[in-house]
Amino acid sequence: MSTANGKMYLWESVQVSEGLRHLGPAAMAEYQRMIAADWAPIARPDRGMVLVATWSVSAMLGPSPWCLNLWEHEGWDGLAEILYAQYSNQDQQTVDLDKRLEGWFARANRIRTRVRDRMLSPSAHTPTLEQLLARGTSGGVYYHECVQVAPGRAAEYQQRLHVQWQPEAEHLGLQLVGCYKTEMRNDSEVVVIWALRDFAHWAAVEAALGVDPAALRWQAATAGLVENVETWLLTPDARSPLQTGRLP
Amino acid sequence: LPVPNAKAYHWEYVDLAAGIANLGTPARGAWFAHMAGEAPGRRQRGARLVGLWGEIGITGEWPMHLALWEYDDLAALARAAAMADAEERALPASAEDAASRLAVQGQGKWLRPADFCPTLDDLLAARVSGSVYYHQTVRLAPRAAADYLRRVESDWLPLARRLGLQLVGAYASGLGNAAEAILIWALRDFDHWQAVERANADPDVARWRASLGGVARDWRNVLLFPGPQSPLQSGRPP
Repeated sequence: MSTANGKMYLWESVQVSEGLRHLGPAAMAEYQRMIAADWAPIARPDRGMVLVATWSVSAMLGPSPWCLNLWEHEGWDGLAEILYAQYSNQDQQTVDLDKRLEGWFARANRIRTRVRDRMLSPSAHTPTLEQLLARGTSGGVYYHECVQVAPGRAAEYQQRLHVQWQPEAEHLGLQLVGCYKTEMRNDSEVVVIWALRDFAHWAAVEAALGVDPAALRWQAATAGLVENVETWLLTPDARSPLQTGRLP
Repeated sequence: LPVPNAKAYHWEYVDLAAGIANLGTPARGAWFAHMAGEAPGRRQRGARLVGLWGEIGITGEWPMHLALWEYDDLAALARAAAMADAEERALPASAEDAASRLAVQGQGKWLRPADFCPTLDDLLAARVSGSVYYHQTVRLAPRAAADYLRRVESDWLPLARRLGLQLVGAYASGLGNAAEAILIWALRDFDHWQAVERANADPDVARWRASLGGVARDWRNVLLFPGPQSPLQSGRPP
């Protein structure tokens, strides 16, 4: 079964710490460097997983110290491929079939304590990374919304977002990075990521959401459909493809 | 008429689990001292420290701690977030971070004050202070925060004052779908606290709670122990 834009996405959130030891901002920078500079250029040709971005969650406006990596895969087949690579080895004494990666995992696991992942399928109008790059979609900060909807109604929310809210959001300067349904659940969660110019733009948008007539109409229109929204503000690592404008 | 509070607040909730392994109980005092030491630097970024507290374990979670900062408005808070992000990204890989030695993880929120929420200057002028504080996190129906806070002002505040509760702050959590409110109150002491808990049987209080059906879905109350460096304890602006 192919997805709307042919891709699937791995949403990978990582607590960057050494167990009970918070290593500080420098460790976050090092981990993101390992993702964007060390792993992403190998992951694309070897595994078909393409880094969309690595972000850190703004500590003032979300959980810390967490970073979020978004990877684009060639559909479900692509996700199965990385699982074969990591789980074909029955004794699990090594983390990957590719021994060249042992050093990378050893270093990464010294500065990360916990990883929480989601598998995301794109909505009909979610652009691929190549389309995002061609359009020049990029931001100084990103708005990440995790929307809990009534069971079974994720696709309805996505469709309504594109029709009723995206054009209005674009008037506020928001650029859609993607609108995704969380798979392996009861179609009750949607993840939406928007690019914003900078923190000042975020503050203006945040204020507008409480008074802008179109925003209020959208919120009223989704009453009974939306059960909860958790929003983080993300700041991008400069080596992310959405920042460089190039594939890894 | 009083001027509506137009400030923005940064709610900084910190897990000092490192204290379990390394520092023991003094971690709380060390964190209070560290955050008080940070206040002048953050002041330059537009933040004024309202309070420092540690969560009282038997009512919530130990070792969780809270700092509350006041900004002139949301744009000022956004400028501070941008500066903090830029500074952190410019740190060399070997940089040690003093706060990181104390805290394992944290959670930040921005809070939008209710119109009737006092500012820090209001609190200091009115000498609002307690030896213990009541922190309420109220989970609400989607988009119900403004309605809930209006009800707090009209229906609960007079009752709360009768019970001796002093309002420190009443806020809607920013980000998300306006489905969370946070209230902070100053109490005289633990005897006062237990009297407040017993007042749940008071018919007026019971009516207030019953009136929230369909608006407030759940709430979690914890007691906070104040750091002595908090402006609300010293009575002086930071």
